[in-house]
Amino acid sequence: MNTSFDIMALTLALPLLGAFSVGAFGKSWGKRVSAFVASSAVALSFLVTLFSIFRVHLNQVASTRSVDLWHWASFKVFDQVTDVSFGLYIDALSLTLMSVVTGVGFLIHWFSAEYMEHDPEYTRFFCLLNIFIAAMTLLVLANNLAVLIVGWGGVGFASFSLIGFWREKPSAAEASKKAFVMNVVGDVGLMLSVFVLVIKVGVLDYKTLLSDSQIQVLQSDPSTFVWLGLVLGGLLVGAYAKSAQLPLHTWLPDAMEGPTPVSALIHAATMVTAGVYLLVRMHPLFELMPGMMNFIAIMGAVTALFAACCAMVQNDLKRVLAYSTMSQLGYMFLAVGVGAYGAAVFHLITHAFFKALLFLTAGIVIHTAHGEQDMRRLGGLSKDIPYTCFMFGVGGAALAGIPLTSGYFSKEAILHAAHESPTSGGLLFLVGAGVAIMTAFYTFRAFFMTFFGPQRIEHPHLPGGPTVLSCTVLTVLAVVAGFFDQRLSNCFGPETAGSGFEIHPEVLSASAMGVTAMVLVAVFAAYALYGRGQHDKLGQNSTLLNFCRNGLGFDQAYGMLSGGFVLLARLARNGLEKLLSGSFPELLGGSFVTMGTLLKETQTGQTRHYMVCMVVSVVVLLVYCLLLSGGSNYAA
Amino acid sequence: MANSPEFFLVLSALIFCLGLIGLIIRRNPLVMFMSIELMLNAANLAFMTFSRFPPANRVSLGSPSDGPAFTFVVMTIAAAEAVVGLAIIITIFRNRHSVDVDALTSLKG
Repeated sequence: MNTSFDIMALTLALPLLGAFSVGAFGKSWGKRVSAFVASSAVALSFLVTLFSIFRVHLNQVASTRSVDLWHWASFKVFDQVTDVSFGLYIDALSLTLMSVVTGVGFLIHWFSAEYMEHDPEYTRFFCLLNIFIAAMTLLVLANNLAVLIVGWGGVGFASFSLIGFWREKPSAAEASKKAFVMNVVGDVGLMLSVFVLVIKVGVLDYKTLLSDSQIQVLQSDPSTFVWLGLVLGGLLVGAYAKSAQLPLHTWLPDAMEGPTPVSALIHAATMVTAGVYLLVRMHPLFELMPGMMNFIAIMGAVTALFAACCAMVQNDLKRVLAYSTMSQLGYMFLAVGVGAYGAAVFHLITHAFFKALLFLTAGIVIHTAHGEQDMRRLGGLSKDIPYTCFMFGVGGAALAGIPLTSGYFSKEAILHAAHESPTSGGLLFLVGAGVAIMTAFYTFRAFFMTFFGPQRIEHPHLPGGPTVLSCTVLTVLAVVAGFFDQRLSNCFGPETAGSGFEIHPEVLSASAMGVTAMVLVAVFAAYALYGRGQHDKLGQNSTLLNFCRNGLGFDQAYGMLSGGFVLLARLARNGLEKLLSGSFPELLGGSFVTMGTLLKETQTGQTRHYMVCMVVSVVVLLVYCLLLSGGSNYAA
Repeated sequence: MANSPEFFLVLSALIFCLGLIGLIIRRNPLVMFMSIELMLNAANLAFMTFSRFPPANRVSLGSPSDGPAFTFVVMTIAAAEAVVGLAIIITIFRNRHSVDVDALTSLKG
């Protein structure tokens, strides 16, 4: 195995170095320096990524290359040897995602530098953020599934510790535990599929596993499909848990307990899209089973619809955004399912921009309102923070898919692909269009409830320069990212053309026009209903609305499922534990005491008694020895 | 009769039993010590007997001079033991003004 070095390895090393140095010296450096070190590590990673893209653009290096940094491990199972190297896979997809991860990551570091200023555990926050960036880099750049799992676990850990960042809050601790458990379910699925691949194929690196010849070998052997189903199912479970898709989604709304920059970075822009990345990366394998593809598309549409229904009735600003993230991820899965990988990745990128923007501006809103997140108690903020209101509006417009924003182009590309899809395409398109209209409505419901109507916040706390500036960059990106569609794939040279990564949004088709018109109507409906601070009918407490607000009973169902385990554990604690650590040792000790009391009586203190005992024992022993030897030693 | 090992061995056993009975039934520690001396000397007699009449049909494990050697060792140890024992008896007498063995029951459990 030839090992070599690529400059992209720096994007992995820099955030790791940042995490170590901030973690070790952050306390003595102070807040300013820690934030500067952590942010510049990510900024440098971003520059390295840009440099790599530039080199590909100038044809200085191959646009798709797999670099083995060092040999990592060899597995031998049933004479099947699998060599795993620690390596990077650098192609259009990973470079695109890397620029999003490090670019948006840097903006959020920058934002947090001021946003988290008054937190006593400032340095821990930046250390964890850098760990997250490093793990996400590893996940995206890995050139085989084994290394991907390392990154996959790493982002799970970072997510867990950042959701529970305010560990003194019981709800945050609960939420982080929930996210961790749900993610481990996905990790197990991913591990399972890797194990099956090691046993059956013996290849884990993408270059060989996904090569045309390997795919043909798999296709020609009908017995493949028995275990391939297991592999794909495992990958899908992993992707569903990480990307909060039905039915493994329940952790995402609760993850909003974490600090808002964390929600923006991990639970909107980057980590939750890892599932989409995995499916896009593995798409040659998934295409071997068309049934699986249809399943992904349908589940994506169902998740999008489900999350949109939940988002409609939320009262918490961040939970609206959380459910909308889930819904947009459903769109991406829908696109993957109908084979529009380019559209999925395109939406992933635009979504990263506008959703990060929405979360960050929501963070500003929460700070302005002294920690108030309930939209019913917000309102009229457009007069206090007009510029933030504008930025949130732009983000919301992109999320809703208003023409000329980035979200419009990417969502249109997905709806178009769903429309063209031969399998149940009509229905998928209808659901997608319906969700688009709902998205427009609930996004602007949140917008109008927060920023319009009577002013309810006294003495608002106004945001500072860096937070506004980083949001401004995202605002620009949320608008212009839509124009990158063709250029995005072109910048990676002619090799990627035709590989499924080019996008042709038919923005002027009749159906697209229809959906756009409906979206605009939904926005006006939201204005008519909420624009002047009217009483909110969707925020009321009725049985049905509360059922929707709490995620349609999934939490209760999982609660019942885990209730069995809790019961078992309680039984073990009250029954078995009491027996083992209470009664049993007591019984054992008691028996020793009784034995001792009985044996004590033999000790009379009378010398002659001991003497008699000794004599009797010696005599008995002698007789025994004589009998044993037959008494014949001196017989002659 | 005096030329056979049985005579000496039986004599040795009688002296040993005499010592043993004395040790068990007497209450005065000094007399008990004398009984112990009797038992040790019975053992010495047995050693000398085996040295004098080695078994004919067996390969002897030692030499004929082993018996006297053991006897000297036993006599030396008996002397040392008497020194320690008498010291203990004197100490007990000083503390309790009595050396009745039956009264010394502090080790009762």
